[in-house]
Amino acid sequence: MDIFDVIGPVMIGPSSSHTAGAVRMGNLVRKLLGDDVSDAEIYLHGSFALTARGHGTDRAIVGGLIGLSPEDGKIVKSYELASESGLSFRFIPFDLGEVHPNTAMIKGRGKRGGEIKLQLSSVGGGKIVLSEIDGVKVRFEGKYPTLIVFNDDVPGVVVSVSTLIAEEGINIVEMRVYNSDDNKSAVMIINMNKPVDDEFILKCRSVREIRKIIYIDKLY
Amino acid sequence: MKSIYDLVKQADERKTSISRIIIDQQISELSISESEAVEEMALRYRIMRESVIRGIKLNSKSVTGLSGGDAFLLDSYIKNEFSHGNGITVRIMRNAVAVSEVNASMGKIVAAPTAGSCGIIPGLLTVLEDEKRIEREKVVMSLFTAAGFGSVVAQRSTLSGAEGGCQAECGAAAAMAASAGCELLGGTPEQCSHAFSLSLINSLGLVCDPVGGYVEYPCVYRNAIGAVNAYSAMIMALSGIKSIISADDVIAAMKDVGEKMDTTLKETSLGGLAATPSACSICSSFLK
Repeated sequence: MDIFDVIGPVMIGPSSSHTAGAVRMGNLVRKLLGDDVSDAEIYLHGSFALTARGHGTDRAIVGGLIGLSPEDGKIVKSYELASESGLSFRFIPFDLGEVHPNTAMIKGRGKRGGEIKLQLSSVGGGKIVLSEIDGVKVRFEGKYPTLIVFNDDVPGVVVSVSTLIAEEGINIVEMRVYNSDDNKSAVMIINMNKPVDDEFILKCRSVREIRKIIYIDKLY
Repeated sequence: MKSIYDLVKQADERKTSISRIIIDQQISELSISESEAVEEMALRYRIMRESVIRGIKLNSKSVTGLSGGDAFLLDSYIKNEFSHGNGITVRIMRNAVAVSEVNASMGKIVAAPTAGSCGIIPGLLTVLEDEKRIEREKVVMSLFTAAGFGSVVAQRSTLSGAEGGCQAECGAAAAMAASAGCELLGGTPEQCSHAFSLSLINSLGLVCDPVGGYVEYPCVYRNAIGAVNAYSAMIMALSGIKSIISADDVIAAMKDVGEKMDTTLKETSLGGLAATPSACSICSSFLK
């Protein structure tokens, strides 16, 4: 275990799960959208719904959506900063069913019109897990540089992508494929041992069956 | 490092400190230079220091009104009763409460090992630095010792209140602080492990029952007493007192107790202090 996780992280209080983790949730929505967020609907479940105000979970998520980091003191003023940067948001207490007690579903729209819907849980110590993207169940923990690939669910896509990765001299640490309920689309989560660059992402976009590809470096 | 036993054995074999073993291991694991590792830890210590100063001045209540202003009260007490120095335990309490209150008021802190227990390690170490006039570099190095002990707890048990109760957060923090303080005041690696054990045995069974689910009451005061627990255990170990149960076994006991602890007492706010009539009336008045 990384000792800087034991003495750390540096964060704005009061709770690593309800505050630091909540900021990272907002950050991830922004990253996966690849754009500034203009509009967000935030559904809070369980402990998040019950204790959001006292823990600053609400301000933390909004802070994350406008790109603040968990150690940024401006989180306290994130509502004001959000209105300055043109983000409108709504919080809705909601029962998401059998999920971790610290879970939120965030629907975000970007300034350029893109949309994304994520279900995220804050699992302790400021760590988060992404459990759903646009209705597809996934599992992303942020431990490795990761590619999230949305593709048509046809044979051969896995091979095309993994070949491109191998050509970069990069090893796949772990790869999971998730199918949508209608079997028309799939999401691949590919954890790699090394980061990739923009040029590589462009190369992947040339694969015809790929609808969308997102790259995230490790979160911690 | 898989056990405290290994940690002490390695330090003894190499005739060096526990902090040296941990830092060497980290620079090889994370592929960073020694100066980068030290700088990363020094940054954390600076933030701990800043949060102490901020917390002592912070004479206001948190968002919920459940905490705030108590480090200020302790500071006034020190000024009245200990104007000529001394009062080391009350200074430790003040600094621990200060950091904990900064956390409750959405200020910047270092989770050590968690946000809920963030006052204990800085509470003890900042006072030792001031009172014993220890060089800053040595204090920063002692944080590697605290982190090394903490990571063994994380591997063999847990550092989460939701899994192990408060013994896993404030209990672990106090034991980590005791071992760091012991090294700082010249204790041997073996004495550090006794300081750790003598501290943790006094937190076994401590439940996590925060009022309303907020990291405030009793957390702030558990940080104060946790820091004093660390100081006491450190002194006992430095005086030559030994724990007859090994540190790894004390960690195993903590795990056992945590597993047997009822879920209502593990950060759910369904039992203990959180379920008392006065807690319920405080929360209903806040939620209105």
